[in-house]
Amino acid sequence: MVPRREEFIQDVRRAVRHLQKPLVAADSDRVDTDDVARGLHRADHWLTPKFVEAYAPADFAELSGELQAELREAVEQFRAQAAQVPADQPPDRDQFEKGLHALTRLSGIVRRVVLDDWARAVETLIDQVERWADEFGWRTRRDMTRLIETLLGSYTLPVLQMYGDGQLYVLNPVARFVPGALGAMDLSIQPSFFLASVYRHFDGCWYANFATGPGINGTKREPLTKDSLKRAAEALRALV
Amino acid sequence: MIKRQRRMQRVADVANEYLAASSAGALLAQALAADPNYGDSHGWQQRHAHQFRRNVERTYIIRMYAEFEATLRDYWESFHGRETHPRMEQLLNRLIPDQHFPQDWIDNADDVRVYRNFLVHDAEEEPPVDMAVFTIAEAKKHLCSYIGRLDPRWQ
Repeated sequence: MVPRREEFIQDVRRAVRHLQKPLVAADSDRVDTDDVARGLHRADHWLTPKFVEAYAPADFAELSGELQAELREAVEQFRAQAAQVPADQPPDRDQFEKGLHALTRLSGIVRRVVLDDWARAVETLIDQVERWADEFGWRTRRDMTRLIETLLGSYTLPVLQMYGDGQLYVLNPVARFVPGALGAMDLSIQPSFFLASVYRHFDGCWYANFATGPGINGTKREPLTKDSLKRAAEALRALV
Repeated sequence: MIKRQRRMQRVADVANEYLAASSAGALLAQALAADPNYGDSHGWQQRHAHQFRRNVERTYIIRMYAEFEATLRDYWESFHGRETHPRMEQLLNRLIPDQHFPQDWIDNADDVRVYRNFLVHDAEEEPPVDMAVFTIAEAKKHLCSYIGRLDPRWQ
C-alpha cells in the first residue's frame, strides 16, 4: 500500500511525465514538431485536479513552515488552474500557459522536497555501510554517479566501492522512483552481472534482497544490518 | 553468455537488421531510378518499393517489440515458474518489475508498447499528440534497459 504522501509525490511525477511525453522522441521522423507544439497546447492530460487529490498538508509536517506554506500555495494554485478547464474540452492557450506555470512551480517544490530527502537517505546509508565495511576490515573508496529521473531531473549521488575478501563490491544508487519503495541501490560484485537490491521501504528502513537459491523463490529479504550486509556479500560471492 | 544478455542481443540484432533493410531500401531506390520497371520481373510494382521504404522503421519496431514480448513471457514462465498468460500491460508494468527497476525505465518500455500497439492497429492514422513516438534506436535503448534489469540468474 503506497502511503498518501508518496501517492501525491508520484502523481506530481506522473503529471510531469505527461507534460514531457510528446517531447520524448521529437527527433523521430514520424513526428512533426510543429504538430507536437500545437498538440501540447491542446493536451489536457496533466492539467487536471486529480494529480493533487492525494495532497494532505499533514503529510509534510516535517518541512519548515516556509516550505510547507510554499507547497500548499503551489498545490492550491495548480488546483485552481486545473478547475478552470471544462471536463469535456481541452484548455485554451491562456489556461494552458497558466496551468504550465502552476505545474512548473509545484513540481519544482516537490523536486526539492523529494531530492533533499533521497540524497540525505543515501548519504546516511553510505556512511553506515562504510563504517560496517571498516569493521569487516574492507577498504573503501567513494565516487559520484549522475542519475536522471522524471521530476528530479539530473542529480549526483555518492557511490561506495568496497574491497574485501578478495572481491570488489559496489553500492550504487539506482533511482528514487522504483515500484513499491522510496528508492533503491544496487549492491553488485564486480566484474559480474550479479547484484543484491538494497531498497528503502515506505517505512523509511533499508532492506536487502539477495539470492539464496535458484529462481524467483530463491531470494531472501532482510532489513539491512551489518550482518545482512555480510550475508548479501557472501551470497553474491557464491554466484561468481 | 547468460540468457538475459542473449535476449538483449536479439533485440540489438533486430536494430541492426533495420539498418541493413534501410540500406537495401536506398539501393532499391537507385535501381528504380535506373529502371522504373525493375520490380515487374520480381512480382512487385514500384509503389510496393515506396511502401517498403515508408514502413520499414515501423515494421522493425513491431519485430523488435515481438522479441521483447517473447523475452518477458519466457522470463515469467521459466524464472517466475508461472503458467498464466497475463496481458503485456500487466506483465511489463506490475508483474515482473520489482524494487530494483527504475520507474522511468518501466514507463519508457511501456511507452514503446503503446506505440507498437498503435502501429499494429492504427498505422494509417497520425499518432495522437499525447503518444510518445520512437525511432528504432530509442526503442532498442528502452527495451534493452528493461531487459537489463531482469535477474541474471535466469537460465
